[in-house]
Amino acid sequence: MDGGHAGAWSDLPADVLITILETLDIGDLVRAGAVCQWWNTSSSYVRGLPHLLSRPRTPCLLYTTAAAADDPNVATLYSLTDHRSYTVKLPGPHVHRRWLGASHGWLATADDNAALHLVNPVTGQQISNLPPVTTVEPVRRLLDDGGAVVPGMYVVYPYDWTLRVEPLYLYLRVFLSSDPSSDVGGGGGGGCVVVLLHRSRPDGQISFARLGDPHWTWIRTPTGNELYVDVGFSADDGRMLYGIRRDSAIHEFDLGGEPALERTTILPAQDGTMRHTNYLVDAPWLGDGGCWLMVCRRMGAANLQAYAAWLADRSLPYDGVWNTHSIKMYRVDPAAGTTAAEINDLGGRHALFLGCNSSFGLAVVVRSITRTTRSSTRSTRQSARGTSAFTAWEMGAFIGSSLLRRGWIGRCPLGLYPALAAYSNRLE
Amino acid sequence: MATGSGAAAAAADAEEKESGSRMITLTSNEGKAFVVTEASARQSATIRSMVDDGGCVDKGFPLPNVDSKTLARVIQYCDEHGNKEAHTVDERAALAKFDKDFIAELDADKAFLYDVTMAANYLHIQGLFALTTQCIADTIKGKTPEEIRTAFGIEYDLTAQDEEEIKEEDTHA
Repeated sequence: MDGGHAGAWSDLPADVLITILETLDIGDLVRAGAVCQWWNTSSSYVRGLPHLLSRPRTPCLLYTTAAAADDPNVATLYSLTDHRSYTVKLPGPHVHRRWLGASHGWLATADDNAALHLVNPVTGQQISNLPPVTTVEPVRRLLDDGGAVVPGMYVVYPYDWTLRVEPLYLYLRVFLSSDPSSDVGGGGGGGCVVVLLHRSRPDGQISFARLGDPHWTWIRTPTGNELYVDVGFSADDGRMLYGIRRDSAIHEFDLGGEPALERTTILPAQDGTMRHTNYLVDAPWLGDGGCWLMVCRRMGAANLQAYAAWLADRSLPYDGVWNTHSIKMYRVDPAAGTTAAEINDLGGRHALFLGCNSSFGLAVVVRSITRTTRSSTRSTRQSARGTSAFTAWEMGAFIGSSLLRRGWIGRCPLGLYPALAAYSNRLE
Repeated sequence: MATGSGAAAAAADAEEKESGSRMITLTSNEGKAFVVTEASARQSATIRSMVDDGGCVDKGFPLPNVDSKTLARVIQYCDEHGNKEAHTVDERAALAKFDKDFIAELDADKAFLYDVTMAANYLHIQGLFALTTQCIADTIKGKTPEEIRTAFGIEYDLTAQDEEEIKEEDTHA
């Protein structure tokens, strides 16, 4: 073969070239694609493979844009490490659905009939065998005077009056304890727990179900199952559930405990103003033994003057737009007792992804992040309607650089780590 | 071509003990015969399956896609990995050192690297293939397209339209 190499490298067999290109980062892959025609073809092929998204620790944002409106089921995955967009097709009619969360690579949505679906935007798989909404403890169908079901409406008990809600607004957020696709052959007591925050009065009750369960289990707590705004799971096995409330109280529940669901207070209520949207982020980098980062985001009227004027005289115009007024961060160390220490620095190179997705933080190679600059908070939709913060519609990332794209036109983005494996329903 | 290297090596060891130190003849496309231990030849999944199928062990294996120079170098790798133990830390370190020097030499001669990569692919020598493709990937990393072309002696054959499309992708990326 000596001497006959003219063009050999530009003619590498496809399997060999692809093996090589697959190991490259996206930047090198794009540059390798500009070497010659054959490499360009191969590079495009490799970039079309979903495996790039499956690389561990490759966080993505999922969103829809107005430009994709032609095909309503098309969404965009934007890889934050590659700075690259991938077009993904979601199964079923999803765009009009409400996005309720994203955990472990799966998007949680609710359809017009209040049925929940878990969708893997990369593989296109959909899990729809979640328990029906009517098995949520306080939720009933609305009946008319003749006892017939009123379509499209639900009633939430128990109250001194009846809260009637449309299906779209029954749910606040959905969380998964683990990737459902790793939930294989477990027999009973499967790994993945779906946690639901649902609407009530006050908002934020917790119910949960394991995949395959016929009904939701409502958490009964000594002082009421209410006000929860975010949850987390124990990092090792996902058995312990941590719920953080609007008043900054943090409670721990043992999902497999005896007696079931006994509540332990990790942090007592800190603030009763109820104007906070709080987040609980697993932050092992802050200390040994499972530290949490508590992020308290105080919401308020965007236009304070107009709001004050409107309070005094309700005939004046007021747009009702709320936004983030301040953000404070606290280090919560369960081992150190029931205190929270305010911190001004995230502890070096870390970025937080907060909002509709399961809150998470990751190490980034940008300058250190502090809360001192409000401009560093990119809340893609800062407004919230009414007095309760619509956490499900917001996405904010605290990062020191402009990692996030701005100018969202369509649906507010969710942060998630793509998951590639398929979920197999062990019950069928 | 995917063979668990640990299991494969163990199987190879067992096989070798069973069959004693059986020798196998590999013939290059120039007709030159190379006599190697079976353990060395079994580094190649292609040859291994032929041996296990009771194939032409006595007649030897003609390799019409591999020239003598390349085969000699490939055998050098197979001898090192097939005939030597890799149980202790020191033994493994010695192998790693061998690999490092082996690939450094090939890295300096891209035409030869190409031939060895093709042979490793054809003969399904997993470790060697991983070694050479990694070396090629490392050469690509951090380079501009022009630098990559220079490194591999690739001729520029993109059309203006290709260029435009690549630029377009790059701005999206």
